[in-house]
Amino acid sequence: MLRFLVRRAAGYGVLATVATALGYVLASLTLHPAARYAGRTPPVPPSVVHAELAALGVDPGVPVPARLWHWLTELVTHGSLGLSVRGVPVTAEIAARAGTSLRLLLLGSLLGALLGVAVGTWGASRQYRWPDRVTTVGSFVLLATPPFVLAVVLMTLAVRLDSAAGRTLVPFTGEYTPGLAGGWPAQLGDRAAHLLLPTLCLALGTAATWSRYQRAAMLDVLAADHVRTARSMGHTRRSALWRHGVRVALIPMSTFFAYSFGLILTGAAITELAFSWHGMGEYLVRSVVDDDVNAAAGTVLFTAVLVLLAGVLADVLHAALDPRVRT
Amino acid sequence: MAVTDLTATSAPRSGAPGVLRRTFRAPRARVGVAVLALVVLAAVLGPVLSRWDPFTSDVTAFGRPPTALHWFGTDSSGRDLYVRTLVGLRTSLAVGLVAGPLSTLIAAVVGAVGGYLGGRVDRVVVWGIDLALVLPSFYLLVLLAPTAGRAGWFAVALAIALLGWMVMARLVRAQARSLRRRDFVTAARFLGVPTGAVLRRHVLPHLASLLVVDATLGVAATVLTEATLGWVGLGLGPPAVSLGTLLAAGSASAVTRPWLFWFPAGLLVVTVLATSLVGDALRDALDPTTGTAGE
Amino acid sequence: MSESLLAVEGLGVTFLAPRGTRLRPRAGGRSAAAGGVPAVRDVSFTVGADEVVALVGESGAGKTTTALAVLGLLPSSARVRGSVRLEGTSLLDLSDRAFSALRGARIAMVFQDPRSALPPVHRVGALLVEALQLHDRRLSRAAALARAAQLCTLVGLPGRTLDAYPHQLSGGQRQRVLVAVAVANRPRLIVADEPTSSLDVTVQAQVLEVLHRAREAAGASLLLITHDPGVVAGHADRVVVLRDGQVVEQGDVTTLFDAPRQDYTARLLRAEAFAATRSEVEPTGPAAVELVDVHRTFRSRSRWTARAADEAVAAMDGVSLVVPRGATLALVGESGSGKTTTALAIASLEPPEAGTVRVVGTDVSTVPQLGRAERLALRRRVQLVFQDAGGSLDPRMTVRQALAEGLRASAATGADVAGVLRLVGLPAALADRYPHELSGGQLQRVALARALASRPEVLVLDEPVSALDAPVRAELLALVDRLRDELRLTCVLVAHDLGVVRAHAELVAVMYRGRVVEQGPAHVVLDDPRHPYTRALLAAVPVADPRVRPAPVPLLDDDAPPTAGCRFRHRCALRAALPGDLAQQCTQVDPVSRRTEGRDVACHHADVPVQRHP
Repeated sequence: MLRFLVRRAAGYGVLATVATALGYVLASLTLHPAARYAGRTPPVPPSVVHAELAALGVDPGVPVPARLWHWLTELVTHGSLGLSVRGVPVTAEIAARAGTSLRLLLLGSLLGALLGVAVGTWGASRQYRWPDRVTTVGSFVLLATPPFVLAVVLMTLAVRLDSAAGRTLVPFTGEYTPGLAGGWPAQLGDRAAHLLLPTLCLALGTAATWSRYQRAAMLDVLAADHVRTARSMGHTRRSALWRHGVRVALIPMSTFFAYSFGLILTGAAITELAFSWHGMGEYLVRSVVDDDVNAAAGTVLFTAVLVLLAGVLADVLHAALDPRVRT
Repeated sequence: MAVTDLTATSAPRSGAPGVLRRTFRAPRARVGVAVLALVVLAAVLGPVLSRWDPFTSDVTAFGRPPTALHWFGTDSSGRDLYVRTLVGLRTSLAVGLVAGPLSTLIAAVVGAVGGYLGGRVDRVVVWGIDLALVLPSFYLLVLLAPTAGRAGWFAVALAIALLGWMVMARLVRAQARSLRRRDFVTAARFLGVPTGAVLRRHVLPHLASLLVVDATLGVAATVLTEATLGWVGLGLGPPAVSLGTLLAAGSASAVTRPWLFWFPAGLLVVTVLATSLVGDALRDALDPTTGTAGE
Repeated sequence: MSESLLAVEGLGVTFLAPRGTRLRPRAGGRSAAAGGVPAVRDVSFTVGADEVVALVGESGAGKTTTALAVLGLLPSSARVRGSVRLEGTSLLDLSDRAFSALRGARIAMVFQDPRSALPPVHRVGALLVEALQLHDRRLSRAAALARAAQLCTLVGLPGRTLDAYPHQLSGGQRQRVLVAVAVANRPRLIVADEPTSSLDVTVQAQVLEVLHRAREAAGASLLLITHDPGVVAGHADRVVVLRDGQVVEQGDVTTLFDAPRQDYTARLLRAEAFAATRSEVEPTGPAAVELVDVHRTFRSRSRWTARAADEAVAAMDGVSLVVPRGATLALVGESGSGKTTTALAIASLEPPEAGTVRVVGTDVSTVPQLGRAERLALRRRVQLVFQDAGGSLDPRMTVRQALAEGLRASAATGADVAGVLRLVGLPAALADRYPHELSGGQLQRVALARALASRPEVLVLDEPVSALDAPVRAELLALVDRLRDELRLTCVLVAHDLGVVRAHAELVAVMYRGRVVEQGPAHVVLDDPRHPYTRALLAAVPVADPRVRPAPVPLLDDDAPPTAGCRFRHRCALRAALPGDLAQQCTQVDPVSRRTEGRDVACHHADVPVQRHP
């Protein structure tokens, strides 16, 4: 079991390396760092441009494989992801932003998954009756609503709430209120309040997807023979469902978690941008706008690592839920 | 199973007319198709009904809310939002209609070949899919978007399709694998039917339903993706108009000039919702596991 | 008896239109029921105290629906009428909560398919403890575990089973666990729905024995659903016969066997013809099929456990067979014995892993080198009929299209769709039907027609009748017999029903764990079996005579089969009776097949006289 996980993680590592390399190549091909210097007044002499780009390791004169090799060796030997076009080490920038992104990601996906599983189970247990209908329609509407629209809806509601209350109950711009007076409890409360809407935004979208899959998995299980066995033992319909149904229905969900994680990451990036958070989503978009190859490649690496961690977590969850894969 | 009366006939579950009938039995499918028809009609004919042009400014109306003259209001340069929204919808639908089926096609080819042939080909396919899944496609799309955006809507559609086929390819592969093990495929092989004919006659028809559903849902997903890219500011470049570019321009003034945001956003949600309803109803009608409650 | 334990009166069950096609539950259950499909109509019967009642009928007769109705476990699309009374309590009026208090405590059920009936994520011990504590909340965990251990002993499972997960157990073991769960709270009535139909004949005998013991220990009555006349004769006191959802006849078991009033009952309960009808002389002549020391290993690479080699299973472990032209060889053995693999090794024309397969004179290892036309010609000469006829026909193709594919692929001349349909006794009008519009017997005839379309010389039949009801089974086998003689076919028939073998094959090969342990002329092997496994197989066949009650079967523990010496020794009744030095031989030396008394047998002690099977 443990050996399996280690092997699996190693396999993931290889995938991540290749994927990151591909990401670097893609960034090198699509981004044009030299364009930053074009059209400046006074014009930047080509020699200066060349020197600056060479210092960053993104000189278009050097073939991409050579640049990739340089980038990878720097990464392995010094743990360095290079400098961004603004001269800041990419690792430092990622370190500063990672917490912001992870906080949202962790809370949002966890809340969303729990909500989705609960709603999906509830809907399946009342198939074709009103709870099922309402949750189905709700999830379809949420699935059709991109996070940035949902964010505006939530913000509008918050503004209404605030104006009704006469004061700011739900602050939603940025991660905290700049220059807030008060000790750490006030700071913490302020941060928590700022977390509310973005977390909700990400969680609702995630929950909509999850509830559909959980509903389907649950319906499969409801028809399963072993749930009938549980009822023949003396479980009521409801207790057979919760004691014997949900656990089995969660098994395919662990695999689904691995696949849906990319979607969650995307949703999180958009949510960050919608709420003006300085997270990794913003960093990625800014790196593309800035034609910043190193920053873009660093973001891709960070993301790949997250996806891999999610994959390992999904494997562990799968093994924890299903004894059949443990032996 | 009871012995069938020799004179009894019933429609085969798999026939196309049966599928359509079953699909339209679901109210959500009827709603979805009706709304979708309206949306397409609006995109095709809507701009014609207006006297405005999407690119010229009405110098008498900068940033006006909806009026009898400008049904959806105007933006800060005085351009008519109704025409711009519907023209933008055209672009978005075009991107969706190209990218959805195209990514399904890629998924079908990769998945069916890997799953049915098995062996070394399959291992390469699986590895490729896994690799593509390690990086969230949206992140790669963001890298590609500026290049594609400059090249026009077709390039954007191409980029979305190229990065959106992996999950489906996995499903197709799994299906093809299980079909390969089904007795009727083995029977055909044992009868000496050539591999190509087995794929064409026995494997692909059984994948068709999955692919039709995926293509439909793919249209919805692509429209969303294009809008998101546009909103981030990395989609189509000006002067092209799509729901995404409109949302990018409108979201900054969602509070001050809400019509600039809500008309395109509302249309986006309605379009995607209608398409997914149709796709979902199709899936239910085609899925042999639903609607067959035996003894 | 004055008061029946269970009294079913005027039971009717109707299924509404399938779920999913109907998005809104129609208002008013009654009016909706009128438009649904009646599965059971006006069924009445009783089960007395300490009585075993068999519920028999062909598939689709409503047996399972009746059983589920008695337990209140029908899906929500079912509408139930009539009354079901258990010890005077009217069950159908109970709330889910009140009914659940009875289920498992007073009335329990054993389901048909043990592979899916056990919750996959709980240990057996936890399941038994749960079953006990559900009805006795004050029972401590320790006490419940102790009782669970007793239950294991009762059903002949070792105590360590409590720590096992269902997927670690064999089908027979799982069914025993389900029996233990059912009797855990000493119910008054056990309902068993085809408890052995998915199990091998040897395992079936054991599970029936366990059910019998558990029932006696609990003092319960049994409502036994089955289609096997042998099981009815061996275990039932009374029989209720169902057809199309109605009771057509019921009465005492001996009466129904000796003097059934309905022809339908007679056909259901009639024993298979056991007399050998095939020629008694061993056919000679050139071999149509020949296997020499063929091996086939399956490697199932588990995603989770490391090495593939751990999972390697030898499905064919040195199989040698000869089938002379025009003869029928039956392959028998329990599931996992390799009989289907052997059939496929002949029909697939794929080169074997090791050994030689020669079909109609061609060594199949040369097939990849053949040209396309030659390969097709060879294909045409060897055809396969699958176990699951429905699955072997593309659900999207009409009968005509399926047969045309067979005809076209083999470039057969002079045959047409109507012609091949006539050959298998089907009307040409069936040609435009889809598979799901055909009955099981019709499907198998279509599959047979497709196989025969190319005028093959060798026909491999993989359990062609195992999914069919007894009367249909007999018709189909008669058809195969007739076609075989008319078309001069060589047949390889995979079967688990020894009655079928005796009546339809000249030769028999008994397989056990990938090896042929005994082979020879059918009458020789079946009338005087020499391998202990063949004897066990024959002894386990239930006798369709209510006067012959089955003798108690020793409960075997089939864990950890040996990998050296004789592979059968852990289950061998003969070895248990042998003196130590002879038994030692079984442990140390792998027996080689040798000629004994007109057949080949792989047993060291095949000559030891043992009382013959009656």
